[in-house]
Amino acid sequence: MTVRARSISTSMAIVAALAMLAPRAAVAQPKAPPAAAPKLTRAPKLASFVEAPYPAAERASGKTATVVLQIAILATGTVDRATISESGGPAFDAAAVAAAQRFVFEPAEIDGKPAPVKILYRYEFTLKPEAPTTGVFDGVVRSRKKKTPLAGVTVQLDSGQRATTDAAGHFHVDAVAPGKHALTLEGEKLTAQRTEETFEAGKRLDVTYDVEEREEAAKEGDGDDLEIVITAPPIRKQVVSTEVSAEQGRRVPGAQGDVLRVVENLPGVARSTVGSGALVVWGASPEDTRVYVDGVRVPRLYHDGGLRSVVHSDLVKSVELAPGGYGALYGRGLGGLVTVALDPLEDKGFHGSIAADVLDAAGSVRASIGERVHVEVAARKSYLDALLPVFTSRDVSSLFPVPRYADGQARVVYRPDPRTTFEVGGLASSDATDRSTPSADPAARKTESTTLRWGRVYARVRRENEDGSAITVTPWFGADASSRVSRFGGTPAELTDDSTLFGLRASWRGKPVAGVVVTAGLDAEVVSSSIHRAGSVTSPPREGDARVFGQAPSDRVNADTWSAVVAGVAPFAEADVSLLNDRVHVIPGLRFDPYVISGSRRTPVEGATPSVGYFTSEALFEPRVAVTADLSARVKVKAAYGRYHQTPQAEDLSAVFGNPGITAARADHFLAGALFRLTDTIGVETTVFYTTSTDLAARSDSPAPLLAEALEQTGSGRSFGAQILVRKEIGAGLFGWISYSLLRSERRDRDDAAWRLFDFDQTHVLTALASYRIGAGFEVGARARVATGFPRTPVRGAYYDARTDTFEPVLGAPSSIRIPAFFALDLRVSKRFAIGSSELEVYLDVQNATNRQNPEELVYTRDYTQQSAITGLPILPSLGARFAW
Amino acid sequence: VVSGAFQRATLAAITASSLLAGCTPELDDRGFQITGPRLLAIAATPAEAEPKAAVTFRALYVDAQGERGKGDLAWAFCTARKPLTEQGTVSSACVRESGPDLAALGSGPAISGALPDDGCRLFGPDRPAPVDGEPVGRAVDPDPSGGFYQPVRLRVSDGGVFTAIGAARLACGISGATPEQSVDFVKRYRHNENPAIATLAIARAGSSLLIAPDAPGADAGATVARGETVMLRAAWDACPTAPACGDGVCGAEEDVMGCEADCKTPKGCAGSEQYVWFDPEARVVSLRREAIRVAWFSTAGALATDSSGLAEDEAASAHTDNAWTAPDAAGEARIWLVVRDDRGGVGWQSYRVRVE
Repeated sequence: MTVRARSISTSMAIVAALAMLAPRAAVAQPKAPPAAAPKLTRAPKLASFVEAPYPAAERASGKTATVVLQIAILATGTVDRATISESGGPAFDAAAVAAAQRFVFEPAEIDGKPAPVKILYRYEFTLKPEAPTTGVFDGVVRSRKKKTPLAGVTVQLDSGQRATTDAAGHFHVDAVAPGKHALTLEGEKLTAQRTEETFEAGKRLDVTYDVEEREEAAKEGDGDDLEIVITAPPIRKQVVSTEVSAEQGRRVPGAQGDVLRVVENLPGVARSTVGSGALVVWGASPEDTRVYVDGVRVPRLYHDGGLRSVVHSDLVKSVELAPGGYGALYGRGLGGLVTVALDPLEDKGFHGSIAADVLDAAGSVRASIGERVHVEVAARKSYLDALLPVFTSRDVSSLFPVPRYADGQARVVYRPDPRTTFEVGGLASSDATDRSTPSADPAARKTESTTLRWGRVYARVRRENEDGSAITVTPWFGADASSRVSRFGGTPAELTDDSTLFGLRASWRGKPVAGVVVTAGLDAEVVSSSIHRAGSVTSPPREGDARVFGQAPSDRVNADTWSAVVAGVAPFAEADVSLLNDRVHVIPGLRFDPYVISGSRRTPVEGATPSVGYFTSEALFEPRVAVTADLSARVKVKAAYGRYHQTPQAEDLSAVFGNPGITAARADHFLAGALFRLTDTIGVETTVFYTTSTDLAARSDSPAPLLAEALEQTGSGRSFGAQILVRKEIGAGLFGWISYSLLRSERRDRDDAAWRLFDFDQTHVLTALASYRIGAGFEVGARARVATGFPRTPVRGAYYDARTDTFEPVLGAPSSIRIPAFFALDLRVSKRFAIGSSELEVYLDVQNATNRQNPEELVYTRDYTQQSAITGLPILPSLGARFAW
Repeated sequence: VVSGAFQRATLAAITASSLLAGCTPELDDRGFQITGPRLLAIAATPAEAEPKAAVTFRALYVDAQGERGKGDLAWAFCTARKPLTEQGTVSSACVRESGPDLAALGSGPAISGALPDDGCRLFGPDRPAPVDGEPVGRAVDPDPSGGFYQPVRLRVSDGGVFTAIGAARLACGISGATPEQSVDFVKRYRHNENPAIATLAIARAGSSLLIAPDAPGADAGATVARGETVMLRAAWDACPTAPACGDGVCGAEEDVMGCEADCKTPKGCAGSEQYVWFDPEARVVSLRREAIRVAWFSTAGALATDSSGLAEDEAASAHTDNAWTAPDAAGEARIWLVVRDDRGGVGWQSYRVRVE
């Protein structure tokens, strides 16, 4: 908290004061005839304002005070004198007078000539908190056994800041730089102990350290002396992951204030094609990366087009991306893991925000009801589809589908006591696009409509026990409805999927023995899907299909309607074993993930023959292990291994379009890395990784595939590479990072095939971004991105299909050429206006500021004799505003 | 659950949208212009036949002077079934220079031969012969009209080498239906008839001038002014939409017992025919109408569109229009019209127009 004086000088106040004016010049003159009475022709105007400091003596009170001054202004505009008209208290009066006497005005004019006047001026003092840049560390150190406070224990942070506990065992450290800090506890009766805490700007971290005194340990003779027990031990981050707070995420250039869009900029994430928003992490398919919002799985992180995330930023506390090698708490995905942590909702009072830009409008409100209940509601709705016709008379839907999206969230948190939290909430999202391409040629007419609506409701109970353990139980229920209906000439393509989902995550976390933090629980998920699909087996294309952009889908069509239930109940356990005085952590984990699949149809429909269902089950073990070691206070090394499985997509279980016999695919992640903390706010993290995947579903390459085996589980993949992240945490108004990933991701559809590049392989991905608060509420930021182009299959020639009157390409080696490299510079400038205790932020986000013509896709003429490239978005400025209170 | 296919489809759609929102390059992609040797169409006669039946394939191979008599046109049946890993309309083995899956038919602008006897197993609804120890294979999926096709490879050597694929529609029946539906289908289905351009007319304000088809030794079929833009109307036969004995067409609801005149030797209609098909989604046998497409070509001037036509769900009519702007220079322009129906039927007609 800092103190700032606020002054309000309004023209209204001056005008009101003018009614009381008695210009000194006039007073000194004899009475003039009425017709010659002097007339104020120009009011004085404050040209130079001097801000009065909030009196130091009143800081503790923090009260608001108003001082009304009478200011005598000379004909030159300088202040002759300032006197108190209404007192706000001695200290405020003195500060106001001192400041006012340094004011400079544009002089008033009477009858067109500069003249001295007196005005009344109201000076308001308010105590306004500045945007904090540091956190506060508060805590109590107690005897573990007696639960009595321990005095004289020194708590020292790696930044050098320290505090000693008082008689009540309490300690306090101000101005702690955000980020993770190592700390030690030392005292006469203690052996120095180390642990870590993470601090956030503007937030207070309250901890209770229950430590064993030397005497206690000696008496017990267990040899495990003086172990720190942290009440409710924090959940350890994944060994390799990047976490970004909402505060930082909101300020990232190019993200237009959307916190979750920061994920696109993290190491290990490929740059997706402009506007697609697909998350390609460490060379895994987008559908292989799982997204959780506080333990509730959601189908996607972004709305169509990647323009916005599906969760309002005001709800988000932080987002973490683990590209691989994550622990046993999560599974069912071969790729990365995105976990969104919601704000704990502890604010008192009524707060909220409204925001709007060219894409959409959003709002949120949160309120506390009494001391124990908190409510938060947020919503967003796009209007780009309605806005475009204002600017263009063209039917843009004939060119591209304008995304239409909306989302909403609601939460109620009840804390009957400080250790218990109940929460119920819901998430909902809707996306829709429509596109039509008219043509005089029936075969060239194209229409496409997509919708995706999903919702989740959840309940969560969290209880922190006296012994430091915590239990969290989160049951959730959801529904997904997706639909895609298109027609390419006379060839239909339809896919609808209606699913209901039930999930349960329950976990216990605690320290059963000294030096070991155990997390154990259950992760259950049941998905019941009803699917209808019609069209070509080869449309939409799968990863690895040899094709070119714009190629017409095959006109061989079929249809199928089927249902499938995929259920898994996975108990898991993970232990964080602290060794060598907490310098080394060994984290073994095991996840037992049995699953069952029940399908409605094993073979395609054949006349009136009743369908025969099927049942598949498999018991899977997923060992995970991670090791971290602090080589010094600033250097940490790490390594991890994990095995992962992913049950088949229900869509792949079609007897016509897929294979009902498909089972889970498997992946193994190996990684190692090091973290170097160069300064208190700058860190460098490097990671090398190698992943393999097997049993991937791939198209049958047989000229005569077996019945109900359009897909075969013969695919495999491998990815390897390295990533580096140089990150500057928020400090002195500046934050940013540089991330670079060097990777290669390959696939092959069967063992005897040659490795080919993965469709989303990008050799180099470099992202550099920074944001800096330059003062006066202004903030500037920039983001630069460089990325290798995606692989493509070259066209070596073409043949003419006279039946369909189309040319078909003759293709070369799969994925043997690439789209040219991408570069873009995005800029952001914002200005924050303080309005009382509220804030208005206006920002301009400029994407592709250099207007570089980035090739995004290779295209060909109808007969494939000419090749060119479609370029991405030109320079795209976006103006927006956000008002928060 | 948001399936991978949905994600992929949405991704593709959004990608396309985003790309289009960016900048689509201008490529010289006007297919109507005939400036050199070019294959415009391949037709099979009859348009639809059972395996082993004799079929004649004809190629419309032209240049700016008319149908081109030069070049070696080598024909071969392709017997390779397209794997699901390939996106094209036929197996990549069909477009190779040679191979075990290519059965040579001969050379020339037209060639006749008997359709392979295993066409319905290779390219139709009959399941492939089981391999020892393995379950039965997957039948080929039909096209949207319910059709299956025997591909024929045409290799044109005329300075360079150009490959084209033609097809004959196979009369193979349907798969996946009940016996009753199969019987109903066989009873009511009529083989496809190649469509034909009946007339081409120049539509001017208040009048319509028929253009005489091109014929050896004949004058140009019409005359237009240099630079003049005229509306061309291509028409095909209007096919009956309701059974009427004596109309010359044996419809789906007619048979030899009820209308011997039309059905003793079943004859189709050279326009937008009605036909029965097995709907794989609704799993019923129902009646529908062919869409008709006309591809337009000219040796001079400019056409507004490369192709036009009538979709199945559009109001029934028997014509389609296109605007043609005559060249600025006097001379003679050739115009070809290739008409295709939904069931693989092909027909064409050529015209000459004098520009003065």
